[in-house]
Amino acid sequence: MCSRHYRFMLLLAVLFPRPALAEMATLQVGVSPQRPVRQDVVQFDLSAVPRGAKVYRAELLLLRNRQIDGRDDAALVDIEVYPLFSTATGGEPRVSGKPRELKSPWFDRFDVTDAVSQWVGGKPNGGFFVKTCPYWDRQATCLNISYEGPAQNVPRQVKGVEVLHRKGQTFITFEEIDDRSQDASPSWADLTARLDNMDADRTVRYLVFRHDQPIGPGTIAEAELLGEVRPMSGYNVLGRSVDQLIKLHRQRAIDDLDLAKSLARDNYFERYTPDIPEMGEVAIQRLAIEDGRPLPPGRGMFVHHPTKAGASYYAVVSSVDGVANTRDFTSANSLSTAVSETVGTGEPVLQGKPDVTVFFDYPGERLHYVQWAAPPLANLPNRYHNWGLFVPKGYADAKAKRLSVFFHDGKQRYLKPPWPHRQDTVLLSPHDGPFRSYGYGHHESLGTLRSFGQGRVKPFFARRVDAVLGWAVKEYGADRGRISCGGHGTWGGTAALQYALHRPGRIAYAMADAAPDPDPQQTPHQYRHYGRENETPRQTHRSAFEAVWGKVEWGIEAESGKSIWEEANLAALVRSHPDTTVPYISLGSGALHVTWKQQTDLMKAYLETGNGFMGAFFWGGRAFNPLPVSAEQGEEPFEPRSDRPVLGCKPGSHHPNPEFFGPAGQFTTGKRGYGSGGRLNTRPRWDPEDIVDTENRLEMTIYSARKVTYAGSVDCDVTVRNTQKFQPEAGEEVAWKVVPVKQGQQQEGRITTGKDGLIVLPGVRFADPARLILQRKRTE
Amino acid sequence: MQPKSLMAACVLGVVVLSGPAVAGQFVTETFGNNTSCSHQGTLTVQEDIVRFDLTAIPRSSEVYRAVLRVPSNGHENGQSVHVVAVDLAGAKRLSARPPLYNSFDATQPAKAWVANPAANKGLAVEKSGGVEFNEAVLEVSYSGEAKGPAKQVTDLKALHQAGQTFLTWKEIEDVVGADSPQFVDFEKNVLDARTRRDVAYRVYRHSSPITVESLGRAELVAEIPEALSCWNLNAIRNTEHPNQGTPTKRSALRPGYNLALNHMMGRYRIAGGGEPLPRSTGLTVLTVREPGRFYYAVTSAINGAESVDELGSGAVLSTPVDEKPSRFPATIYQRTNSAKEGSVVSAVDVYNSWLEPPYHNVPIVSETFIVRWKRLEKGNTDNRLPLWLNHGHYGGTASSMGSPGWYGAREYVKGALTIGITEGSLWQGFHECIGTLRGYEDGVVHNYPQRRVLGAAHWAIENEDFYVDPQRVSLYGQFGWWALRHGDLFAAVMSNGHANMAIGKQSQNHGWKWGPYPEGSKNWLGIDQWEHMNLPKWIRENPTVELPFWICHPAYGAYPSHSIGDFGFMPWPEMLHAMASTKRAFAANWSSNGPGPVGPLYDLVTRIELHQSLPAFTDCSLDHSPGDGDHADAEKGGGINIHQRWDPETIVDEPGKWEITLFVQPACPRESLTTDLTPRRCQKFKPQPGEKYKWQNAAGDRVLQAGEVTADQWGLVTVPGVRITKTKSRIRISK
Repeated sequence: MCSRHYRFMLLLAVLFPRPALAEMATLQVGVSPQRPVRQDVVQFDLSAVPRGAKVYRAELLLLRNRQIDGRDDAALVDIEVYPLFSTATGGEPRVSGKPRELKSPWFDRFDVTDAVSQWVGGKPNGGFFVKTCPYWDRQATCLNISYEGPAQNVPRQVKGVEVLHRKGQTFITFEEIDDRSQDASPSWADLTARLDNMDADRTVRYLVFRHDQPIGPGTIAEAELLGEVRPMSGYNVLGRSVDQLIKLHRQRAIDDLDLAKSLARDNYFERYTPDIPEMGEVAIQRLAIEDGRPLPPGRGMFVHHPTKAGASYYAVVSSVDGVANTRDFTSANSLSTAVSETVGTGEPVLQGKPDVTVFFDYPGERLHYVQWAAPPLANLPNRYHNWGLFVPKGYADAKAKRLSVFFHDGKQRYLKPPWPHRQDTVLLSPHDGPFRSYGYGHHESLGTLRSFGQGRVKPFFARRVDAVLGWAVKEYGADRGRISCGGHGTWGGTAALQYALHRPGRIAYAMADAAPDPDPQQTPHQYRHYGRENETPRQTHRSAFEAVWGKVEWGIEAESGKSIWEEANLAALVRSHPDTTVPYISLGSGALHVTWKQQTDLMKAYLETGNGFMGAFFWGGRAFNPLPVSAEQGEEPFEPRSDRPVLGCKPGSHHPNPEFFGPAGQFTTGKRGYGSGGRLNTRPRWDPEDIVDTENRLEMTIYSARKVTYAGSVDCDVTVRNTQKFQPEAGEEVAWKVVPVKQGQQQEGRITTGKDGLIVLPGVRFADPARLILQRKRTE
Repeated sequence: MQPKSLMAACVLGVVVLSGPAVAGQFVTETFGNNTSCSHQGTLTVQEDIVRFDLTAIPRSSEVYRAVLRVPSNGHENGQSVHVVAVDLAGAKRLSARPPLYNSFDATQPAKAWVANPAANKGLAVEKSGGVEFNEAVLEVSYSGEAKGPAKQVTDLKALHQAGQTFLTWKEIEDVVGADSPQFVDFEKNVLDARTRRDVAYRVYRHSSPITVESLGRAELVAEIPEALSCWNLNAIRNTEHPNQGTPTKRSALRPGYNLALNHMMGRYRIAGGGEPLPRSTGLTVLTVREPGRFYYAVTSAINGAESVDELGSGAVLSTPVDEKPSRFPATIYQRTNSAKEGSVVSAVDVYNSWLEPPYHNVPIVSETFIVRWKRLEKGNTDNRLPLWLNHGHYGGTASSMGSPGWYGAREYVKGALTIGITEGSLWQGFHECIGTLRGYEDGVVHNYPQRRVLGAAHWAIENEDFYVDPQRVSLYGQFGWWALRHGDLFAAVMSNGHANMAIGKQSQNHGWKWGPYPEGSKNWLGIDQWEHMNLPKWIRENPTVELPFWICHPAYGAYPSHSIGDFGFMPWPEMLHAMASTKRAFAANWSSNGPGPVGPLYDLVTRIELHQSLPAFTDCSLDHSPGDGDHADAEKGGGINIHQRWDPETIVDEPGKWEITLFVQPACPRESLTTDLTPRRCQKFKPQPGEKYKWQNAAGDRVLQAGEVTADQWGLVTVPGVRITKTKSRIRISK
């Protein structure tokens, strides 16, 4: 942001003669204080730039007085800026050509080098006509200029620059020029105060340059300015987690009974989010760019993702109030030897072991990782994202190596996710910020000056998850067929479904409850509790989706080219690919929830396409049935796997399904209302570990969950999916039988596979363990 | 008496009683503004001054007693009511009258005002506590002329047993009119009678024979409402929700319950083997504090007024009752609730006790249930039975607890004589002011329901017919963890893990019972009650105190929304951590509806003896994590210490030597596990801090593991990483 100092610096620049060498000077000019000719025109006094000086770079910075997101129609308005080469007044300025373009990759400023060059060269400086810019903060507008000339009165230079390249990521670190980063772990309250007042006295920035030659006064002008780094960049401010505060408060409540009572009255940590004032107590850690080694106090950092392999030089210079020290270059701030770089998405870096446990935790280790990202894994360069990772004790020697991804809800608990999982499961939990992604991503214009019409919704988040998931599978040797995900609520639960169903064959199953939304475009903006017609309508989660995706009627595209809202219609996704085996889901559902209709649509799509799922309903909502089911629970083990056959069960066509009671009518209509609850497909199960899957024969053990004597048997039409080798032709006859292992009724029959080759067995009885055997006729 | 004639009587009374007093007769008259008062219109309330005009009482009358009665509606629990006579020498704040503490003793000012009406400046209400004094009534008993003497009770009898004196009499009217009425008819008859007039029976005690002349000097020890005292109101069948399976209603006769209209009313027995009391029998049970010989008399009071010109022989005891205190109140068999055909449970025998402090703050009747399991053989001197006390769940009522079917699904401790006790809410007790006109500052919190349980346990142990083995007493209750403090009685305790009420959700709704919320009050031990209800803190701070074996699990209910969610899971991990960190013997599960995976451990309960060492297991390789308190953090499907088993009978517990046989329970999905092992509740094995011990784990002659350990600062020896399998092995610790 511009400040009053800039005009003073501008005068200083005038006093010095034009240099003999092609040095580079910089300045920042604020909006001319003279009365504007028009409110939509801003002019800048360029007299500090020697007439005719070569202008290397000129950037127009527009700021808004509020942030825009997809809930606001203003988000659709492109910012149009035109340079004016006439000082004539009266009427709307006459402009020609295209408006200036936002400068990539940051899209937070306009490249106006040509216009400024012309003005410095003598053309009339009519300023910039800002034709459209919603919420424009006119007075905050400023112009950054780098021009040929000696850099004078420069600030103290950066030193201690170090550059490290690893797997596609170049980490540039340096010593900041002041002492604002000296605390190893300040409280969030302290750090917030510092961050809020960062520019109160002077505006310090660190400019990171990259070049294929050593960077010095003579080459700085040609170097690529990668980014401006703010002070205190070494703090992991995005990493603060409610888990830390919960730990602090729970610990304190052991001895402070008044606090204990207060917490209990308030339903414990129900209201806790990363933004509540109490989060000020939480300690902010320094980022680590090497596993477990936090940056020393005082150091700033920037991470660059090269787009091509090669050798590069880096330099970091300080800038105070727009005047950069482009004069002093030593090995302390400019590399004398090039860094060899590759292209890649990097690997997450271990930050440490979070202190988030008071009493008990799963046996194993909680780890905190940071993933640095840039396009296409983020919409902007130099982004970092936090991850929680749980590694079970003895995982390396585990027989089955499961890995699951947990998507958090509004509390954003990613360090110690409130998620039930088995002890033998590595749990990855991404922090989804700063914009919600719902398992997919957000509009690429968020956080920039681009409009929503100037981009798409891109799966930044999903790509980041893909990257870390891929890394974790390799790092820990997880079984690729045992990868699952899950989450609660309209944020995390939706994310789990969206992420999983867009990854058939890669995610074995997804678990979601507490109103996950499989088709958010059906969700109204407001709703009333069922039967309470007189209550004031409540806001739903719809607008939170719109904030990051834009309104439905805008038709913002996802990466597929479809509207993002259509992309998120999971029932349509399942129906549109009937041949595809989509991940098994375990869904907890509520017939009063605003997402009930969407959930029934998804379950119907699963039933129609013969995909596997289980659902549990209650009017107030029911938790999903956790997977996998283990022998420790007194059950036969059950774990749908992405690399083994899966059974899609459709109950009740031959016998009434005793589990499916209560809201059956509501299930059919999708209408909200009270019901006595019910379950769908929670009992038909199979053992994925003793499957015979050959070209001609498929065998597996099927059974009904819980003791049959207690719960009864279940008859289902069964679609056999995801067979690896047993793949009959379309229209081929297949013999099948069910042979009880110990007791029960034998079944047998023949079926003809459908035109898509799918095998659908009618009325298969799930009771005491039995072998389901399918045999291709040609082998008989 | 109809209101109109009452008014006439009031007016007449003023005229008549203005004359000289008639000595030798006993009169109680009421002063106030209620239409039922003897002297209506005699109350004035100006700001904070309440004044009763007592000039209707002859100045020469001897005032025996004056009782200030105020309506309890409006009064908030715990709020003090402070009333003091204005400008009266030596006047003290009126004290609430035992045993109900729902009225105040105004004898001292009343005496002064009658003697000198000019001194009657009224009563200053320093603290109203929400009481509406416009409806106050002052009852004054004095020597006067009994006009229209009330009908007297007859057939007064006394029975003294177990430190309690049971007085019965025939009431002056048969209000109910049937021996086995349905509740709906019973209620109607009682309430109809009350609308006509309010009858109460006043019970007087004296160390000398009671006559009309001495009645005024006798102690008024009880006031018994008409018609109700012989009927068992606790037993009225009730439902959680209105009209749940049967038509119900709420009733002033038993507030707070949905009472089944078609319940057949039953009456109390007051003697073992005796018949139920006849209807229209008045009953009071007085708990004796000091030994003595006392005479009793009962009068009838109509709308608070008494008029006694003579005491008939049926209204007084001509011989004194020889009274002796007892440790426990009488527990009298009442009835047997039969099980339905096919049920596991045969019957539940219901016993009643009439309780006063220290078992309850005011007199109540409670029920105790002896479950007669079909397959439980009767004990004898050679085969004493384990005793299992079950105080059920939050919200449990006598009606539900008395149902044999209730126990059918909860026969946790097989082979034990089973006692059920109920109506304890969260079982942490309450302030003695609750339900009275006393304030929090007038007393402390008492653990009344816990004392009932302890009393029932001792009653059963001492009952010669039950043949209970005092070494094998255990307790289950959803909130039964309080019993862990009673390692001198219970060999094992089963409960949920909600053991720190301060951070429990539901307990906040009960905070008013334990003092002003949220501050709280001291309890009978002089300890802040919230601190006292923080069991993990006590466990941490008393590592050397030996506890019963503890089995922790959610109660039956709608898991997790009800059994965990409504109450909050936050206390559980703290409690489990306190147990584990101080190496106490326990097993726990937190993710099932009922005992779940710890259920099989109940089989061990009857084999565990009070004076027998316990193995405390920690850091088991098959343990699961309950997290920090958010139930979503907790691992599901497992527990802590759910697979280790031991043979209690073969434990060796000698000076310098301790041995136990351990194995993995057969249903465990793993063949082996590792666990730390700490001998606890040792009787003779008493290591000193810093002492070194050798240990070995052997299967027969084959030594599987061996090592050396040092006793910690508490004198506890912990053997780390003991590996056990489904085949038994013997762990030996010796010097």
